[in-house]
Formats: sequence, structure tokens, C-alpha cells
Amino acid sequence: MQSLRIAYRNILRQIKRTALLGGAIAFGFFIFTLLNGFTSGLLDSVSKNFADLSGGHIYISGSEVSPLGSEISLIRDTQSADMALNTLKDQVLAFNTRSSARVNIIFGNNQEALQLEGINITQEKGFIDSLSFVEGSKEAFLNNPQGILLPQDTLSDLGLHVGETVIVKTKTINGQQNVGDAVVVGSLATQNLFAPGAATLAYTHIGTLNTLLDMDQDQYQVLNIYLNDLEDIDAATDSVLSALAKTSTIEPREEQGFGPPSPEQLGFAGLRSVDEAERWKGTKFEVTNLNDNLDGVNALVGVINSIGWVIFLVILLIIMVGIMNSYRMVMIERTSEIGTMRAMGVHKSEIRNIFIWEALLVALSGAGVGLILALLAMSGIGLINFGTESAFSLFLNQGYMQFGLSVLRTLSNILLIGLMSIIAVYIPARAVAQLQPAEALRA
Amino acid sequence: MKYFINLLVLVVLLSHFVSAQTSTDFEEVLKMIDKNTLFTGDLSATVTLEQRDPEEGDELSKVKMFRRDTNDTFLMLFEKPETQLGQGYLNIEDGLWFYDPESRQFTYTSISESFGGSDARNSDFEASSLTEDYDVISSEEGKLGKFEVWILELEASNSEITYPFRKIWVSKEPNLLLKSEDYSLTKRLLRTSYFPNYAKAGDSFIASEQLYVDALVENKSTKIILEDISTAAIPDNVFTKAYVERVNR
Repeated sequence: MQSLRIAYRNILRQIKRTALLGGAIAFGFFIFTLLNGFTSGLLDSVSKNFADLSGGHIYISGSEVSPLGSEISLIRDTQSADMALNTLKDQVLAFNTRSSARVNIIFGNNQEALQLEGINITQEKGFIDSLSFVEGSKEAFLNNPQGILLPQDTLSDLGLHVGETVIVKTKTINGQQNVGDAVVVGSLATQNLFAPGAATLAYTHIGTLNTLLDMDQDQYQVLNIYLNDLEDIDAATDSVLSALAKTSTIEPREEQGFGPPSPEQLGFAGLRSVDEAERWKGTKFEVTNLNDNLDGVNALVGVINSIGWVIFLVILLIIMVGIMNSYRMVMIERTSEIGTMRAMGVHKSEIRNIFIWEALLVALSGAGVGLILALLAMSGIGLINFGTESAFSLFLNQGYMQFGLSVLRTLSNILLIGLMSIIAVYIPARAVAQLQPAEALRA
Repeated sequence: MKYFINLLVLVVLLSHFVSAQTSTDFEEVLKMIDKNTLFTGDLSATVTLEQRDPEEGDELSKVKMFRRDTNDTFLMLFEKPETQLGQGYLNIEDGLWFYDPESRQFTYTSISESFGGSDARNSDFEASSLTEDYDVISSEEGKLGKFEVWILELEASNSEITYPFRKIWVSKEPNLLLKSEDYSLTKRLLRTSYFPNYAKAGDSFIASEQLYVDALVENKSTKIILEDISTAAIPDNVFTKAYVERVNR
């Protein structure tokens, strides 16, 4: 305890040097913590945005072969899908059923193509709450079965206002032309998806869309599942596939597409004729998950994290060299002081510990300051609204940059800084401790 | 009394016979339309599309058409505008493919899709198949301009036909389609097509002038004119993906 007290006093004696050394450590820790927080938040934001856009973490889609041999996107066998869902039990946070269509919204002389999602309002209250309305309200949507929510850009392009009626033109699941009317009950902040070719999304009630698609009211095209824990996603996907394989034909996982069903899988590009030898009976299920879509993002996060680590290690190396040199200087400055202490009976190990405590206190203070600065920076940046229309909106949470900081990881980084400082100071500290009192007093 | 019963039976039988005769006649009319517009040999033509779109503006496209009805194949190759040069629609055994020379890739598309963003459908360029696709649900006589016509209401015979309901105006001699109203599943008018001029090539007819008017978007229409119509034999390799790629080199 005496060593710690002396170390603390020594730090205060050389306040400028301490500030410089601690400042360097604080800067390094600040950069590294900020980068870690950014990548962690980025992954969380992308996962959430993808999950919101596609309606869940695991996607079960189905198709059947029509009497004329065409592949039709539809889950008619809802019982098998329900059974597969039940196998996940407590792992499921929520689930929803959706239908999708590529539609043309027509108003007067103008039309615009977009992807229309049919959502079940009783299953997706949370999702509807999360939508950012520019005009209109969620209540108007919930109360109007013919209601449609369009991106604000679509309203501007079509010269349209909330409350007006539009024509919705699409194709049925069998490829027939169909049209219906819908009332615009709200406009949504346009989300410019980073993924190339991604469609702008609009929303209506699943029953309304099913009528246009010539489907029964209780049928759907995709069953989306939100999990309690994203760590379970691959295991849960495999469980669902195994459960479906017991009752139905399934598309083997390695032959499936990535992420949520693509527009082509949902029949947007037109019906695909199935070769006679490949035809199946009933519903053929396909199960994909969010991870399939996040491979690219994970790779990006990995690269940013690696860059962060390289920066951290370089800074750490510079700090270690700095600490080592500083304490060599300190050793020369304090040689007579050390001689006096040794002459008064202070043990070698205590002398060594004083220096180790000094370096550790400087390192931990620096890391602490770096952490506080990083937290302040994260809070500050987190208050800036970058908007939802930029190309990077997919990486943002409702337009705000999100940071995520793991307590365990931060603590381990602080410990690493402390450990490296101890290693750096150990050699000069040991050399100082080895000095003979008489020689030290003569210096 | 016996005389009265015999007369009643005769009237019933006669009306049944007349009604059966009428129904058969109109199925026959559809058959004749298909037959009159079916080419037993090859057909090629230069197609000009004049699109009027209030939103996108007017656009003129030129397309080279190659058609072989005997095995349901066709190739449409864009020559104009410059931005679409080399794009092609190839309908072969394994489906309809769209070729984009920029990406040099074929992508699967549907016969029911719009042709090059126009009001015409890809199916408008293949041989007519009214007999196979539709049942006649009502008929009446009428006039369209100076022509005596049959006006027939059709219902798709299966759920995969692009237009579930149609109303067509057919000239009586020869049986050719002069006008068509195409309806959605909800029986809403989607487009009106006019075929004011036909050209005779070999023993068959082809509409050398076609006008497709969008019924949902005001003032949107596409006029199609066919020129250089020829029934000369087309080499087999024209109806291949390799040919489409080669002409783009």
C-alpha cells in the first residue's frame, strides 16, 4: 500500500509528463473505443433495418406447381408452417405473415412501380409503431382496410396527397393482370436502401393485397419469425427446416437463395415453368435467414474492426516505447532518491512496485479519460440526425448513428492497456530496483 | 294434345340445336382468327413502336422481329433507340429471355410482361391462341366503322392467361381481330387495342398497324407499325441465345 501511495505522489510531482503520457494513452483508447462502438452499432442497425424491411429474422416461403406446370408463390399448407413455428417455442419473440407484390401505383397521368407488402396488423403492431410517418397516422391505416402507406417520394412524384385514392395494378399469383383501388392514409419517410436494385416499399393490409393477388384471406406468401436471441438464428433455421421436412417437400438449404425471398422467388418476374421431372405435390418450403443477407455487412464490420485493432496496436506500441523511455529518464532523475530509500531499508521489490504502480495508474487514468471522451463523442454523434434518405440510411437507426459498447470487451481492453504498461515499465523498474544504495547515493 | 306435345318437343329440340350451333360457330370464329393469323412458315418484319407517355415523354423504337409459329418461337431485337440497341427478347423452348448487352446477360421474363416498357405485351408478338386461351361467354352482331363485326365476350379458360376477360370485335369475312378490350380479374378495363390494317403474307394475315391504348393512365398509348414483312425462311440459329450475343459483338 505504501508503494501505491508513493507512486501516486510521484505522478502528481511530474504532472506535465504524466499528462503527456496519459494523454497519448487516452487518445489511443478513445479512437479504439469509438471504432469498436461504431462497428458494433453498425451491425446492430443493419440487422434491425434488414429485419424490419423483411419482417423478421427467419423467413419461411412456399411455392406450389399449378395444374399448368407453373411455379406459384404461396403457402397453402399453413398447418405445416404453423407446426414448424411451434418447434421453436420460447425462442420466438414474434412472428408475422406477409404477402408481397410488385405493383404500379397509378394516379392521373402518372404511375410509379414499387414493392407492396401486405401486413397483418394484429401481428405487426410493433412494426407499424416503428414506421416514421411524414403525413397521416398509423390510426388511419389501422382503421381503413383499403388503406395504403406510400413513401413520401412516391407522393411527390405522383402529385398525390394523403386521403386521395390511387389505382393499384399488379399481377395475381397466377400471372393475371389485376387492379384495385386504395386510399393513401399516410406517407412514410423514404428509406433509400443501400442494396442495389432494392425496391421502395409500400404497405397495405394483407387481406387487401391477397384479394389483388387472387389468394384466400387466410393464405400468405411468407412467414417471418423474430427470435429472442439472434445468436440462435442458424440453429433455429435448421430446426424449422427439419420440422418442415417431416411433412412437406423442402428446398435444401444449400440450394436456397440468400435472405428474404427475392422478387423472382415471389413470382414478380413472371411465372416460371417447372420441368415435368422436377414437379412436386403440395407446398414446397424454403427457409432462409437474416444472416444470409448480412454476410457482406459482417465482412465490412470485420475489416473496420481489423483496422481498429491495427491502429490500437500501433498506438499501444508507441505508448509502450514512450513508457519505457520515460521511466529510463525517471530512473536517472531519481537515482539518489532511490539510493536514500534503499539506505533507509526499503526493499528492492517495493522500489520496483512503485514504478509499476506509477505506470499502471497513468495507463488506467489515460484509458479512463479515453473511455469518457469516447462516450461523450458517441453521445454527441448519436444526437445528429443524418436523415433517412441518404444512401447510408441502412447503416443508421431511424437516421441516427447507433453505437454499441460491450462492457466486457471494454474492460478487457482496459486490462490489456494496463498489462502492456506493466510489461513496458517492468525492465526499467527492475533495473532501478537492482541499484546498490551506496552507488545510488554517489550518483 | 298429342299434337301440342310433339310441337313443344320439336321447338325445344330446335332451340337446343340452334343454340348449340351458335356456340359452335363462335368457337369456330376464334379458331378462324387463330388460323388466319398463324404462319406455317417463318415471318420477319421491321417493327416501329411509337410510344406516347405523358410522364416519360414520347419515344420511338425500331425492332427487328423474327417469328416461327410452328414451334412457338420468336426473337425481337432492338435497333433503336441507341440506349436499347442490342436488347432482345428471345422466346424459345425453355421460356422467354431478355438479353441486356450492357451486362451481357439473359434474364428470365414473362410473356405477360410489357414489351420494352410499352403498352404492348410480349405475348402480342407471338401467334394468336384465342381458341386455347378463351371461352366465348356472350356474342352479338354489330358494326365497327364500316365493318360488320361479331362482338364476343371472352373468359379465360385457365387462371394463367394474362387478361382474364376480353371483349373482341371480329370482322366477319375473313375472321380477323379489329378491336379488343382487355379486362383485369376485377373486370376493370386495362387497355383497348385496335388493329385497323392487316397485311397478307403468304396465306396468312398480320396486323400491320396496331394501337394499344392504356385505360388506366390517361393519354398513354403505343402505336405499332410493321414494315418489310417477309415470309422468307429464317436460319435456325437466329432463334438461339448465341445468335443474340453474336449480333451484339
